[in-house]
Amino acid sequence: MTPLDPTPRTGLANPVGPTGAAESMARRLARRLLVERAVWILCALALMASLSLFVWILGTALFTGGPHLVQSFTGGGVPPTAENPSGFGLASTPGTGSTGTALGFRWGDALMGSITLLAMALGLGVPAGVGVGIYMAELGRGLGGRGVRLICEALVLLPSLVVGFAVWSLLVATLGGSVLLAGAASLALVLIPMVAVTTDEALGSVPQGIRDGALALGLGEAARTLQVVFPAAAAQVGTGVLVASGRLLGETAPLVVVVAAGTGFVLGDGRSGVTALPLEIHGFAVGLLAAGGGEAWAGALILLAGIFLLHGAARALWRRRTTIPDPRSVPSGSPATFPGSRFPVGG
Amino acid sequence: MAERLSTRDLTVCFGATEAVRGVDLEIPAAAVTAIIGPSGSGKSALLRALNRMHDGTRGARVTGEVYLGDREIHDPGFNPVLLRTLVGMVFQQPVPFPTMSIRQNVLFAPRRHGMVRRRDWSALTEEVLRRAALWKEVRNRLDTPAALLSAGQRQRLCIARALAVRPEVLLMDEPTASLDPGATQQIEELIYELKTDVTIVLVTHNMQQAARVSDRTIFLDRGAVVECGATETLFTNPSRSRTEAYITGRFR
Repeated sequence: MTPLDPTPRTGLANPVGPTGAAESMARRLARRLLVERAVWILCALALMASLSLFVWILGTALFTGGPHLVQSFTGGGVPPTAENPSGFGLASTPGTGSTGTALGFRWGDALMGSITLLAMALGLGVPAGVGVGIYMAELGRGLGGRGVRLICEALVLLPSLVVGFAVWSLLVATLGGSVLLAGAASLALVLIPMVAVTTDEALGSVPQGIRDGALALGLGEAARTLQVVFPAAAAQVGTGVLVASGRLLGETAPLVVVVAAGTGFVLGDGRSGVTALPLEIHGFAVGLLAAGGGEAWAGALILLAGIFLLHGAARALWRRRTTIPDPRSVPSGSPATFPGSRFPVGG
Repeated sequence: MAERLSTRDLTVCFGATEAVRGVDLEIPAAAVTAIIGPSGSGKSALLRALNRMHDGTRGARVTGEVYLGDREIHDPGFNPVLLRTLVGMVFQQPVPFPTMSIRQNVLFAPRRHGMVRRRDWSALTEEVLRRAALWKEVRNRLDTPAALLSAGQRQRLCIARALAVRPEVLLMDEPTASLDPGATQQIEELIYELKTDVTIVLVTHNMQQAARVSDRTIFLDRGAVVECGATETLFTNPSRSRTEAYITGRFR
């Protein structure tokens, strides 16, 4: 008896027909095993293809960008050249940027710019997003809530380029606001629907029994939401905010529009001094400057490190979120899922 | 301490659906009254009407009267917050507030309503957890998260949380439906002990449970009371054929 012969295992003599049935079953089984192996190989190839691309990105960033990065932080930054007299990135397209310092561009400045923009965007966007999320989940259960949810889900998909252009038109071109604020505001606008959707989902996964319990203890709707339901969902909301921050850190389109749409923008110029990692990477990558690829990879390396850091923090917070251990006790609400890379990645 | 409850022509509608239809009830003080009936018979809707839990539910409409002692609970002068401290509630899901410690869960409502002074906090915590038969198991970990307790312990913590505001009536909506038999037995013993100073209304799917712990039983079907009386009589000598069919498992 070979392992491919199914007859002894079924215990039934030829369930299909009297002649050759067992033999045909064995053939079919052999073919299925072959198909299974082929699918496995295809999956492995797909995995290797995507993994090797990722490893190549990481490796190039490390080996090409690394030395530039070290020089940027320890040495004199990007040395001024004939095409790039000030040594700045996008900030100083030849002809406009002549006010830079002798030290030249440093990636530290871009990192600080990114952190500043991110902090401002979080400050503007998180309270608003959480507020909208609470409205959707707790207050607007009727038509209003459904409408807001629909709009939010559509806004998540809104191209950030459009957001950036709209904010620039309103804040900078019309109202004459600062470029820094406009950059932060456009990032905040990208953030709000993401945070709102996450908050809505997080609150939705809080068991109904917790709401009922709070109501039965004499809490009003506001106290119940703020003191009981939201704290139970807070870690999940925080995870979503961290994941969204990772996306904001690399968000380029709105910044390119907001910052570069204003001509004569100069890094280090007190009036409009804004730069950020993706902007500089963009600047170097499109070859505006002689410094070229190595510098772009240096920026990419910082960006990758920042995103890994944020994602790690999001994962850590996700593990610490409050859960009711007994699955039987949580029949209501949707099962919680890590926000992951559900949000579309902008450019 | 314990107070009686009664209803006059109590009706609960959700939109066009009548969940409870003109129910008149007398629920005696310091006793356990069980409400039994098939799914969808309006047991929970009736129970939740007794402390105005339907107030915040969209589309829910309650008419008729509910008396706590002599006071009508829908009376404009009767603050619903006060009502809910007098008529506490325990639910099927054993979910204490998950971000709070055991101690915070117990003290949450009394602190919020200004019912306890800071120096009485630990005394109240111990007293309430003892009444809920949980003190011995948690006395050394009062500050650990409530989510770490077992399901049965969490349900007893929910009972403690409700007892902390010293209610006169405790409404229990299938409190053991998601517990194992051991934890169920502990809750049933607890119900039996609590009834000396709290009026208990127990909604249950489990007829053995109703027979074991209740003094009076109400059989509800399609939103109306079919039969209501002493538990022993109702289970051994029901006066209505539908009651008999239900308790013997030959319903419909």
